[in-house]
Amino acid sequence: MTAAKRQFHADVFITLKRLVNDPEGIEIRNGLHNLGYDDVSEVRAGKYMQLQVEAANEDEALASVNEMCERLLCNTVIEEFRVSILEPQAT
Amino acid sequence: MKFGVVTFPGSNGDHDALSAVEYGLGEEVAPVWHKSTSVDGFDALLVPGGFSYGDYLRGGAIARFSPIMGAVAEFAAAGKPVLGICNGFQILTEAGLLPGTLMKNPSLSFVCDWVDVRVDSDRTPFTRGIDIGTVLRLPIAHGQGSYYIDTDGLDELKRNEQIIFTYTDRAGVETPESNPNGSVANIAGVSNGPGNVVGLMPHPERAFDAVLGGDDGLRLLGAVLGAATKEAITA
Repeated sequence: MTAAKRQFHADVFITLKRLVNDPEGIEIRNGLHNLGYDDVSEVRAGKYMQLQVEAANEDEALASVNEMCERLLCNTVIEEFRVSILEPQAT
Repeated sequence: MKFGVVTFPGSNGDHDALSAVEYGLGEEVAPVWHKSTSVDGFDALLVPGGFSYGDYLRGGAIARFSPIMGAVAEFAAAGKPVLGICNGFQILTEAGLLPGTLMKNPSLSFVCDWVDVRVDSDRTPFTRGIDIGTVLRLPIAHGQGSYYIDTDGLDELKRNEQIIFTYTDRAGVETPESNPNGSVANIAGVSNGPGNVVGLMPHPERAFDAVLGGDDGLRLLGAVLGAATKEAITA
């Protein structure tokens, strides 16, 4: 008997690779400095997405979202991604 | 010769491209809607500028999965001429038909200006017959036009003569001042390996008549005609 699919919540974080210049991050850091937060040495700006995904288990959900990142969500020429899968909510 | 202008929801350079071919070149041209799956009957494709799908996610990221893109990829693989302009350039890089990518301008500002662009190779159908080193005056209008490729990729482009257009000053010298968007090596346009697929940020289709401020763009669009004739003669 195959396991029933469950809903998983995926958090996807996309940022520019370390070697790629991030003008938005620099501008945000400058803004923080203007407010007096001189302790901030670096800001990297990026994208955050929340996905609801149906999968049999956590590994399957992770593999699926990783593939989505490679194919569409992330431009791997300049960006890198991190995915975290949250436990399905009790219904 | 029949040109096709691939049109997505949010394209805004499609009518410029249609006009440039129809009135500037006097050649046959028709729009190709992104839902179509065929480019049969066309001899050259233009992927115009604009903000396809509102540039959601990244410029060109969604458009590259449009139904028409399979046919565009086959057309390109068959060695036929494809020109991506501005957003069209972004779409072709997202589709993996051209190397590198276009990033947000480091100024974070939309730039709208006329720039000098040097032709660095005449091995593509859009530059054939144009003397290498020719400086063209073309308009630009983009917020995400900063060409990026890593060092290895840049070496490969140089080795394979895939850098086709470079931002320069009027005399054809690349300077930091003549680079409008922080592009790596002042790159304004590149080709794929074989040279039949070309992408550039400047807009040749908006420079097809002196009344528009210049007609240098016609030389790129017109080069395809010469290229097609040449191929027909050699064949």
